Amino acid sequence: MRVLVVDDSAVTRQLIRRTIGLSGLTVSEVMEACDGADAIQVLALRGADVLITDINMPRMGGVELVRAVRGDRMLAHIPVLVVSTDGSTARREVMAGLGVTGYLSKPFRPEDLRRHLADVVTGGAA
Amino acid sequence: MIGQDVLDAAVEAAVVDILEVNAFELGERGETAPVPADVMTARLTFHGPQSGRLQLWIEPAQARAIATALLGTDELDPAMIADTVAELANMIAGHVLSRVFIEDCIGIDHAEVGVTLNDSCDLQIIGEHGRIGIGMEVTS
Repeated sequence: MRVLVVDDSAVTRQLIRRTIGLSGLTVSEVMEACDGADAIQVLALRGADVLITDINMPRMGGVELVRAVRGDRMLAHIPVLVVSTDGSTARREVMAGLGVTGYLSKPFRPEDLRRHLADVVTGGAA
Repeated sequence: MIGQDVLDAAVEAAVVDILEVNAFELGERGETAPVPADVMTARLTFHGPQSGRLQLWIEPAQARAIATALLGTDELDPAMIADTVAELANMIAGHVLSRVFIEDCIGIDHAEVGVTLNDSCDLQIIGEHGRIGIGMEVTS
């Protein structure tokens, strides 16, 4: 499984990378992008099996990224896990409407990310 | 308009929660003390149905402790610690706004670090490695 982590915080990207590494999940590669625009380029060039994305990012945020992914015939199947500081009901509903597979609020415990990622991979509940 | 006391209580809960979850530390609200000379700072704005800003300062040892816990290493360069302070501001703002304005989609701008603070940041949380001062206001 190849995972693309999209977050404008290098610390958060590294935290997620480390958590995935310790999760016991079979992940062959963790790729990184610093915003939605960067992620679109990575997806076009290399693809991914799972997308983990923040919402509030410069240039292109998570809402626009998910909308673009879901609207692209080649990428629309990719499961998306949102990891964001924005845990509001309103935002969760917006993202669910866009077809995200899971939603995790920051701050999160490593086991929370592992469980959500496992759910996303196996098609569990958002 | 939300009361400042409600906002301050949410900020306090946010910082204590973040310290516990991300840094495995206990934090508690302290009396307002003078701002130490050598602190790291961050500021962000948020906008949408509710707009405003959050500013904070943090003692460097506390910032380093959070970064160490997040990244699992104490080999940290200054950029990683600065990014941790920016992410701390982001997490506090998101935590507070998600709970106080649960029905609103509020955009949070990227935090600037190393800024000159123009608010008092009187709400102070004492972590195990130093103080964090936060000021958050909703302007509209």
